[in-house]
Amino acid sequence: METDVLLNVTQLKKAFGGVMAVAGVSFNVVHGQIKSIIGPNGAGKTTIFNLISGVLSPLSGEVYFQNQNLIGLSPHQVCVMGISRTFQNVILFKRMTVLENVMVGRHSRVNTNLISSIFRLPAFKNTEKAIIDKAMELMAIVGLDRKAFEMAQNLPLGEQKLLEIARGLATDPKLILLDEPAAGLNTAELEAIIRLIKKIREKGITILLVEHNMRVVMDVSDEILVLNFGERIASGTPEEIKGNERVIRAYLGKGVSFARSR
Amino acid sequence: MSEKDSIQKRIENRNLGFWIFLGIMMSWPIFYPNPYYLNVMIFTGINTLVATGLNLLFGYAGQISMGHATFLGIGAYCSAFFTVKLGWNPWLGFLIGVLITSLFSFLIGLPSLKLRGYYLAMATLAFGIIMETFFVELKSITGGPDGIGGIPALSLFGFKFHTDLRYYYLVWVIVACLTLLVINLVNSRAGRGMRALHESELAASVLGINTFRYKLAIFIFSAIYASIGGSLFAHYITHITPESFSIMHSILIVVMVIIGGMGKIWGPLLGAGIMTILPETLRAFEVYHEIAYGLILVLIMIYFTDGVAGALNFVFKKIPFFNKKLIS
Repeated sequence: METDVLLNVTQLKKAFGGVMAVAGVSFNVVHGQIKSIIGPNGAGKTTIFNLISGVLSPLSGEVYFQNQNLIGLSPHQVCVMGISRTFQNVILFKRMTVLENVMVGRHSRVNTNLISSIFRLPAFKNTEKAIIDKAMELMAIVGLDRKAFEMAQNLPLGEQKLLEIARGLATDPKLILLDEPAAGLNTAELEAIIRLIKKIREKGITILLVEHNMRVVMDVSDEILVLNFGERIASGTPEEIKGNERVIRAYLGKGVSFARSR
Repeated sequence: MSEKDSIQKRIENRNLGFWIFLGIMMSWPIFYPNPYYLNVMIFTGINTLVATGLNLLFGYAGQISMGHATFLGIGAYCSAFFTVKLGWNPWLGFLIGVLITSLFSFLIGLPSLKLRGYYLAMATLAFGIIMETFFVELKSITGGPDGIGGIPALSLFGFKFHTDLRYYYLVWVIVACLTLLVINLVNSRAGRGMRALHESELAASVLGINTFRYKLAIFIFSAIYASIGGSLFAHYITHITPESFSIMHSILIVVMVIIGGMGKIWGPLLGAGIMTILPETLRAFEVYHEIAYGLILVLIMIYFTDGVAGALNFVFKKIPFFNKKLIS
């Protein structure tokens, strides 16, 4: 059982000024699962992502990934360990092409030295070709292979989100943190994201998802963790969460059920 | 499969413009060896080199340096000091200039590249002012305000670069080689890394890029370009004084990069060309030449927000033949 745990978070705490954004949260992510973190705005979901990925350092608590401590590592080191992420507000390299964006994602997985790249030695050409092949493969998975040479800033939001996921996948992650991949998408784009999330899992990549769209969360999740004001208020399978009284109260106020709200 | 090949080709093809440019630069003096034009073009070449280095740092990686003339100065003074005062081989002076510049830029970059934006500009500006003072006051090495004169001409295997024509070719071959290196660098893993950190340091670091190490490496790389430019400058004019490496010159280099077009391969060339040739051509306006000069720069900044290279890119994109081959 213990060996199946990919990510172990223990008593994680983070304060901004006097506000406890994350107030001692503990959870496990099991290898191969899709786990969702939900909760009202300000519940600390994105902060948890920032703490795991090394963007912020916690007040206290521990984060173990494959039994190695992540606390104190910088973001690029966390990436090398095998954790990738996307951003709630989509941060692309806007003035680079779609292809180049994904190629940047390969950065930590290839090693061309400066000499061979500025003198265009054969070693460089081979790795470069491998990077392009891998990038094209990932763009095909998310359905952007036809737009390789478009500037990232010219894509509609839905495709920008897909591109960000492709770029994240290019780092060969074992775990990918998706921060609200469905926010702002229309119905068709929503279906595409759901299919993509399932496809990523089929590739053996574990997913930790922060999402407000309940249709997506209930559809894809194996397990859901519910936060409110930086604390865990519930966790369990989608079925269990749907019927949980505290969750319903936190989200919708008393007496409304998810079944009816859908 | 064929699709993948075309992608590779499309990426490789961007160098065509470079070879056309090289052909023009190498052939015009044969038909029209006017010494005055050669002189202006030698300075243009040296400025292009320095601006190309700064463009890498400022245009591609997004980190400003307001003290780049300092590195130009270190290169020039190393060349002057080791050849005139110690009588060493000029190329050795060149090399020592590059090494000392690397050391200085490393030491300056280490603390100051933790800063961003205006603060980085202030730190590098301060460094430039300090070094300017050293150039004037460190009389035993730099010769003080009088500078160092009698710097010997460069020679390679007995071939002396003592005429303008020869020096022109020397400078522009070096410019061409070092520009090609930049083209290659920009379209490589490291180049993508630095363009990525320009757009978002956060996203770049999350994707596994050690942003600080990259900034430092590019800072050193671009300082070396300035140092080479400084050495070439010293051996050409044979007498250097501290004014050539003042804060005003640092600002001029930044202006070249901006006017030419930040983050464009041709930006520094066009910027250096405009900033070097324009004052010369405007001499016809006599006392009004500074007004005309300023006016033209203002108009460029108003109408070509991406610099002259950006404007040319826009024009070339409309022409189908160039569309896929020249734009980089």
